Amino acid sequence: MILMLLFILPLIAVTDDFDRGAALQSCPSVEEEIVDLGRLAAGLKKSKAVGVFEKLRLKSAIDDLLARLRGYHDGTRQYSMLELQQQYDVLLIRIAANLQHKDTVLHGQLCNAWFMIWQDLEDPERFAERF
Amino acid sequence: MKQLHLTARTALAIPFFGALLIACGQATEPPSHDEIMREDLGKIISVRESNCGSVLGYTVDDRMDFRVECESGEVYRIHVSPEGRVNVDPHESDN
Repeated sequence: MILMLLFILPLIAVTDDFDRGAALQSCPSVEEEIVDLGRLAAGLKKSKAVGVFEKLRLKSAIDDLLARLRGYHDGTRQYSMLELQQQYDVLLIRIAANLQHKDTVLHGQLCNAWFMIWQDLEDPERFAERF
Repeated sequence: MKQLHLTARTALAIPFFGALLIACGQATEPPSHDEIMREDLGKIISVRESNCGSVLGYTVDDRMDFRVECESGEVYRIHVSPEGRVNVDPHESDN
């Protein structure tokens, strides 16, 4: 049994690396971590890096993505989970592009929380708890 | 005469509100995955102040690594570095 685990565990680690691609392997360390999308949205609202109209557009884009994920978890599947993951990544890239030169703290927090937030969104039970 | 004027106004209002209702109906139809991706990829390029116009097409080369074809004729690579930095560069294979 232990021998089997020794063979399986490295395979799981390789799969995880493949999913992440080359990105986000060395995020800057941050004092306070963001743990969910709500905190990211709150940080974005306070940040001076993003203009008022872009904040409204990003808030609307976050709400749209949550509605699509809600539809997926409710069984009204307009998009596949892979498509929703790509939509999530592209939205976070858009947010990161706005932050990276102007709000390095929130950018670092976003980098560290990227995969953690996605895990909440893709899991039906965790999604139902949080949203 | 006055009644005729009101009728003309109503006659104008009916197609106007009809068109508005049709437009609202079209607006509620959810966008396709491609439309969502093209719009957001275009916005990322515009944040980096690069010339694009609308996005004609894209391919996913890896997670967080995209090749984007622009209306302007430019082809960009949008990718995220290990440090989380967003890079928008002219795509090497298209130069």
